[in-house]
Amino acid sequence: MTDRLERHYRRLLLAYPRGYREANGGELTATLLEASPPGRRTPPAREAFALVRGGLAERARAATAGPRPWWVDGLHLALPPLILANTVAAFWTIYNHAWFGAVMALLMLPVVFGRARLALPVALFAALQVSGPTSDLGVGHGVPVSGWSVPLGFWAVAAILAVLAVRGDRLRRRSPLWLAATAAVLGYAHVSAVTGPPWTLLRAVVEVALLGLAVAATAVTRDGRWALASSLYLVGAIAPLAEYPFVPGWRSISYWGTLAALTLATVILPRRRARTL
Amino acid sequence: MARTMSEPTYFILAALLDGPSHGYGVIKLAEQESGGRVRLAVGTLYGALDRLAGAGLVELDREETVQGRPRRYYRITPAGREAVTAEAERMRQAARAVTRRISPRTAQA
Repeated sequence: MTDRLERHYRRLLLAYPRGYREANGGELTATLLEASPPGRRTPPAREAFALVRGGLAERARAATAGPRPWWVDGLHLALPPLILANTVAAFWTIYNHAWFGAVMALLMLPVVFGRARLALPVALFAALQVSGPTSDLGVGHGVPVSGWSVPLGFWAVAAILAVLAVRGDRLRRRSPLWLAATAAVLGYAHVSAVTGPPWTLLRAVVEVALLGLAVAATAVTRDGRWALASSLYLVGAIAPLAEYPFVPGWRSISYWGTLAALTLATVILPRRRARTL
Repeated sequence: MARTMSEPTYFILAALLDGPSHGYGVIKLAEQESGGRVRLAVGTLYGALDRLAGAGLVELDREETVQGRPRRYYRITPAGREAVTAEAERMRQAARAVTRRISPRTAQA
């Protein structure tokens, strides 16, 4: 009986970062078992919720530890979503020229592993490709070639990488989920030419979810790195609006409004009084 | 540094005023002392203990092994004692603002 409950608790403790688990897992498990009513086989919902919340908060705090200044980590944090957005923006190009997709993958890989100096040349190459006269590579098929918002996204990534490369800080490893997402987008671009409402909806859901996590992490740590990353992403996402005529419908207004509000939250939260003890 | 203390924090510190205690001990005592209002989940307790330790209000007393599992005892620091006493005094003064204007006979029904 206790064994099953203990196994449930150990699974819930996975919410905590490994270092914390190793140092405190035993004691937490002991207290959890003590605090559970006798004869229970599954954790009470209250405890489960508190563990997940506590574990995620610990992860957020662990993210702010380390020798890097917060803004360096913030810049690094902005890169994977920007690169993914650029990959999506270059969807048609990748569909027509598979090798460009490989370039984007080769860019995401060192970025996720924190190797700014390896990523920089790839980023510069990609930015030059989408900015040059559209002899062999027209980005945004069907969109005016004189467009600046898509190349801007690529150059922004290169600029951020240049700053990180010059500084030479050791960067954290980012989540491998970014690699999986890139592979998914590239795989889809390889197979299908259709991008419709489900695609847009999926993107909106992912963006809102990630921004939500950024707000939560900021609330727990009062650190500015997520604000920096979110703001950079928002600017990159909004650039196409400035370039092409914007037809406001309730859907686009609520979408942009939500993104803007969440980003604003990450900026404002650290300025409020630190939470009381 | 006059910052209000949250209710769970107050009762965690109050629970430790009697002497060092371990995790579950603090949970039980906090629930008792607060009249059942403060029911700490284990995840919340340890988050609060980490914060309090970081602020220097609580520290590790000792570590034992009970039934093969580690058990840590925590104790309140002098700074913690001061903080919780100040908070209790603050609440007492706040309560007085009301209680001295109300007497049992003249209180509205």
